[in-house]
Amino acid sequence: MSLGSVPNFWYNIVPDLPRPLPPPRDPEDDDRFSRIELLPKLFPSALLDQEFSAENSIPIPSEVLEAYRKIGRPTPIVRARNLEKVLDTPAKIYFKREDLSPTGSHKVNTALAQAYYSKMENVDTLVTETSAGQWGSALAFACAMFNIKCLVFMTRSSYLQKPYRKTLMNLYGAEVVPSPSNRTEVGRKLLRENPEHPGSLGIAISEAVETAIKNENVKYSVGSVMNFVLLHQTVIGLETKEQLEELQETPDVIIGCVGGGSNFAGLSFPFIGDKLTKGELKNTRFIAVESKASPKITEGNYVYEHADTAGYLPMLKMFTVGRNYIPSPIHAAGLRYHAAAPTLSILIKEGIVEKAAYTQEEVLESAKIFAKTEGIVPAPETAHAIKQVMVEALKCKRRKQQKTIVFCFSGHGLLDLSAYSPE
Amino acid sequence: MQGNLREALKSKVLVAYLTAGDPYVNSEIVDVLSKCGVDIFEFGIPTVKPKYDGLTIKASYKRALRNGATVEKSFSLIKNFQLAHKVVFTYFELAKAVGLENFMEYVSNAGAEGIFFPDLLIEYMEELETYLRLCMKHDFDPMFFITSTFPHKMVSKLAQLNPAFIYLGLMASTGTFLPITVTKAIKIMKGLAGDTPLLVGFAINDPSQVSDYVKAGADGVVVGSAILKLINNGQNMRLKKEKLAKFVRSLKEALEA
Repeated sequence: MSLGSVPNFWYNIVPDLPRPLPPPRDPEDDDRFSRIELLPKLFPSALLDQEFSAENSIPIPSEVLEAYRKIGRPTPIVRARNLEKVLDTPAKIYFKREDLSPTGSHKVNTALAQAYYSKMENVDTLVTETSAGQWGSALAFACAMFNIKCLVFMTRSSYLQKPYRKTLMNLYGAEVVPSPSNRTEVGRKLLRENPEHPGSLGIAISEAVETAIKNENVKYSVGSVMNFVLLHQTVIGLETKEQLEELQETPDVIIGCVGGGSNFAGLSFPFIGDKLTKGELKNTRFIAVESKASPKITEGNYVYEHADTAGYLPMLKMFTVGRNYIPSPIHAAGLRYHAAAPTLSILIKEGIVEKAAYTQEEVLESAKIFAKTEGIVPAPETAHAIKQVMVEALKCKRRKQQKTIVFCFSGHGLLDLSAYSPE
Repeated sequence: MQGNLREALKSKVLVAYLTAGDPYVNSEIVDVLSKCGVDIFEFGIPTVKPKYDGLTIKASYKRALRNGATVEKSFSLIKNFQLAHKVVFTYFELAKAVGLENFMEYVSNAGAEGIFFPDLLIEYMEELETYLRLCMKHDFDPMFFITSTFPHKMVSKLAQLNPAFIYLGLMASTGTFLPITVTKAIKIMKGLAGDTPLLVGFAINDPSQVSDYVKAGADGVVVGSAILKLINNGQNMRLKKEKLAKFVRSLKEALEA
């Protein structure tokens, strides 16, 4: 275990990418309104600034640094020796403990930054969506820390299945509404079609966005996909870099699960940046792991698509299965999103990031082994990364290679125990 | 014509964007712009795929297309405007659909000093060599469009190709203002562009922006949507011309201050 320190800047990979990032676009066939024009209605200007920033290093405000320290950053990096033993692998496995935050996942890293900038710009309420509840609880927590109101649209299926997540958000003072709801036009329309509509992350995003657009002083918060979200998450990788240096380790394989891509990017982008700009880590592999239920990076197309189902948000060029794709209901609800962040998509397209996809059965088996050996119950999303770690570790065993594998332990599964209990 | 544009770009320049074929864009308007200090005219070719355009220019394309504009007709309009400096700004996707060789012929025949494509490096990076070859063939100086999020390495490389200018699109789409600190991006991109003139545009509609951007390192500003908004209405021509003249002079003053 290593202590390390919290960096005083975030790393913006955009100016270091091998190709220009395609800008957000409005749909060509709809000139009723411009989604790009709506962006200032949705986000505080400090975040838009970061979204389009030309700088590769952005200072972390002291208030956010303080909040990071308060939640236990830097989070430890831990060696999974028991798992190594059970797998009988010469590989060294390290995991970055993003589960140690108050809400149990990496999501607070951006939630705190977004709540801080919103507070600075006198925002009254932050509205967002959540499916698994990880993002919703992170934002509810951050809003409580910076004393802002919080409204969360939670996909109806999760709302019904995950009462504890709802309770947690309520404890932080957030209002939680099952989506589709009768609070928005998009929600009312869907409820008319099907009063029992289970909802989807895309629909919940649309409801949150609509609420921000239609109400003064209400801004929208987003848990993944946007450049500024991935930027805030680089605190994970920047800490990891320092910690690995202290441990005198060089990562051979870096792994993370991908819903929209924020925890994977958070861990890997600072390392990928070194590879792209300094020519270091030439042989390091970066593997993004998704769920077969929403296979955007392994089977999707690299095209412009709206970030939300209703199409209130601009179109971004990304790997996607299409915004109307309905993934099967899996425990890893955080991985059901239809697209991968534009920056991550470029890196996949360029072959810098490798991709993998697994089914729920495969990953939960790996997660159970991890829980039993390392004593920490992974979130079903994190289980995807663990599956890939085991694949790589067993490869090392066959090839007798002592590689250093590092992965993002993005969240714990203590509020998702139903995923592990027999039906 | 070769060399003139580079000469003009030695001073701070005011560039006006106009859609060729928009019925509101006529010789009277062009005259006013010229007399009030526009140094370079940048003409857009109407397209049904306005990828990075905001509502104002999109509407301008639509008017042009409804008015019967074709690529050929648009270029013949550009040819008829007798102006010191003309360049063409349109999508590579459109030029490819027409045929690149033909398209460059059109540009050349219209008396323009060059063409640049906002989507060339974003969507067709592999065709940069083709573009450079065609520029050489027609004696055009290359010109490049970049955004604030362009890779720094690439901007440095573009500058080494000795283009007439690099055009930095300040916003995500034309005419669409976002509350972002673009002066930082101008400083960074000018630092990378070095001696290459850096023009900036997208959503410029106020002299204070012009002063700020020049102070940050811009060598010229491009104004499009703001001009179109002043002329795309039913007001009588005299009134339109007065308003336009006042607006353009205010930008020019800010540029030279």
